[in-house]
Amino acid sequence: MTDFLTWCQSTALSQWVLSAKWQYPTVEIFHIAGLVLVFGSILVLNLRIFGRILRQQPVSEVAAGLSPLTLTGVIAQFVSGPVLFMATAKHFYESVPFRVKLLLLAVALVYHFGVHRSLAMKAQAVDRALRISAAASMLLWIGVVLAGLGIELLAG
Amino acid sequence: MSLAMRESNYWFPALNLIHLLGLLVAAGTIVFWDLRLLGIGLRRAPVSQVGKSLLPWTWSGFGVMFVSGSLLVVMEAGRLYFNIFFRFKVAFLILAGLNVLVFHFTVYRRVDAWDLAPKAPLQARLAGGLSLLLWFGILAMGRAIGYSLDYAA
Repeated sequence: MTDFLTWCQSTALSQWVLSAKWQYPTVEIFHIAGLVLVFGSILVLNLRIFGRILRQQPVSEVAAGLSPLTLTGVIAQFVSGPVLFMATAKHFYESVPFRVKLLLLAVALVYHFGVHRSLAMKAQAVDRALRISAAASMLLWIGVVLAGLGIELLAG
Repeated sequence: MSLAMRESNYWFPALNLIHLLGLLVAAGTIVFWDLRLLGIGLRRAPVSQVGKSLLPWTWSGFGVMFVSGSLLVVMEAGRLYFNIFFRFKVAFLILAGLNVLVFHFTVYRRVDAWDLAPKAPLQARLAGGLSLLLWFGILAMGRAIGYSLDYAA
């Protein structure tokens, strides 16, 4: 594992990211912008399922409209996230919030793209199962966000 | 107050966390209204409906950001006033507010005429695009402030 972490930090990419002050924060900004898309689109979808917004629009239509945007955000995060990790791989590897975040993220992604999104896209009406699924989805993503923000906020 | 808060180890990260959660709700909703104006995302829903249902959430998130952000500024006391990123951030915020006002009192007045169109008129698309850019700028400057304070410390 140590070899892998050392290799991560020694790549040309990681060297470049840390070679001046602005690269790392810039990648981070794109990572947060991706988060706004992912978390925002899932928040909007779940608010619709809870009947708080866009009540006149069918859930399936809202889900279909938002889905490409969720995916765009996921891609932005999957490009920027590993770049951030590699630059200071050892720091991340040792961080407990980071480990929790990876675990929650894996569950949240599988749950969203495997279960919740399909339920919402096929929904004829909002039933109990869909509302429970929306609550589970919201809790998972809030967990991912809190653990993610915790990596830095708890590091000090 | 600012001294008492600065001396505690918990206030600063806690306020930062609240500030970021406010951002996620504010930006995470306004983005989908901007994108709707650009004809992306919720394009089958009427523009006015997307606006009316998302706006209370945007404002709630913004309120949380504003209160927590103001407290963070108070804690940093004089350090932020001369910070170039902070100045840009405030400028972007003012521009974003002006953008909303102009949009609201011009092209949005005639929204009935284009409410159902997947693609809004050019002026509305410009307002949506500008809002996206300004919010990205606000996020970027906010992050930069954090780093510039770390380096100064």
